[in-house]
Amino acid sequence: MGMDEMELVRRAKAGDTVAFETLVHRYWAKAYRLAESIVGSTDVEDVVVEAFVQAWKSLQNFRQQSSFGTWFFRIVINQAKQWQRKAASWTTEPLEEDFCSSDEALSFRDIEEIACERDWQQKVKMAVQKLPEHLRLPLVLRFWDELPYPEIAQVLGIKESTARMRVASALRQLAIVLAKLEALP
Amino acid sequence: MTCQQVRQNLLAWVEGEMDESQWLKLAQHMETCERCRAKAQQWQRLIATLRAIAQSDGIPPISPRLWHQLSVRRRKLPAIVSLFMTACVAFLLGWSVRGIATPSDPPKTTTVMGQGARDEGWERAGMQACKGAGVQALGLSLCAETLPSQPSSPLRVRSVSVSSGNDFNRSSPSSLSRLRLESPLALNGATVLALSTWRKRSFHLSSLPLRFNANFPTEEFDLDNLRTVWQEGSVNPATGESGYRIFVQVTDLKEQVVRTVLVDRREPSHVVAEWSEQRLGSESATH
Repeated sequence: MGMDEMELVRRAKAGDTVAFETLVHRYWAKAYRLAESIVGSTDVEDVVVEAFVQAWKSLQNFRQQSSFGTWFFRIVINQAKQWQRKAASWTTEPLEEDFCSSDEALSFRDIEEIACERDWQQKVKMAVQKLPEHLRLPLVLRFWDELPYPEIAQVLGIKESTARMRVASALRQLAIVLAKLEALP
Repeated sequence: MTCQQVRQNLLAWVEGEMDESQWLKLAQHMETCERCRAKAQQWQRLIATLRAIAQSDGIPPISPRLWHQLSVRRRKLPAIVSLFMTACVAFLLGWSVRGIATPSDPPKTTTVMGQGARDEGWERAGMQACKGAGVQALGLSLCAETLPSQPSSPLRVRSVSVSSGNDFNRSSPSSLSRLRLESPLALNGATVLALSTWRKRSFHLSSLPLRFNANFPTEEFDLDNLRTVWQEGSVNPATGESGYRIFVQVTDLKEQVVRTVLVDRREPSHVVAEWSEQRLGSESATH
């Protein structure tokens, strides 16, 4: 991060493919987790590949007023949402709005599904996946991509205080769900 | 501090983002309130698990498709190149008509390192053209010309070495190559190649049908972005369009390299495919 990354970006903008390759290596896993949190386990690779290609194409438009991560994660989210919209035309999953409209805990069906997973980390991951998007994305950016709150706010176009509130809300929901799971026989 | 206030500040507490005075107040409350303490522990555990997930395996390695796709990007050429390309397309079309009207034997295919005969049309356009030239390595016929800025500079024709695109580094333009292309000086010795399909695995100059057929190494063009090259004829029955492709090669005499780009036929100002480099005086491509 810091100067090092800015220098990489500067070089990549000048056409240095090795510099961009370094950025790819640095952000591949983070972008993957972020995309996965939006599109689910399928097609993630396609989304991430597309996001990097998009980033390379539009690198000249990146004014370096924010960190590369902030700028790039926005591209990842946009690509993932585009992908999601395409998938929505044939998927039978319930629409996002069904459970995105409130901060209420996950449905019984969701919890049942999570409970079937044996591994604890997988349970948590699945529970994260079941969170409404407006809570899920700040949480993922914070704990999977390790972004500070001001940058989360920038990526998502929300206030920093809102980002904090949403992360807290996401944790609250997860805690409730996971507590229920632990209570299950 | 009340339980409600603690819950409101729980995130800052577990993330260690609290100032000392607030932290002390909250810590005092935690000591006495079992419920709030349990809640904090629950969140801490949850955050630790989330971070552990991020550290765990399960992320596939970087997809080779990414390197491939990064090498197949669209880059806009500067206006001068656009003008140059338009002139070249016009030349090729004009030459086609001449070629049909006055058929002649194809030239012997050799690597060309010389100037071609002057063409009135190109003189008007401020350019110089050769009537025909071959590339030994690929057995292709091509047209080559130089810009008027250096009319005496030799034509530098090299094989069309379109990269397989699997390696981003080797098939993408370096900063140097891009800068060179964006500089008018880079056009000294620029070469235009128009390749067309006559039948599968056989290419010829679109402007000189039949006369310059030659087998083309298939692996060189076995690329997704070039799939339309593989038409069964020079005219696509579906669209009625001729299936030729235009390449521009720029010979950078200073750097002693040849760079190749595939240009959008309908929009010659755009580069649509691979860039490659080949050291002058070396038969093997650098990619």
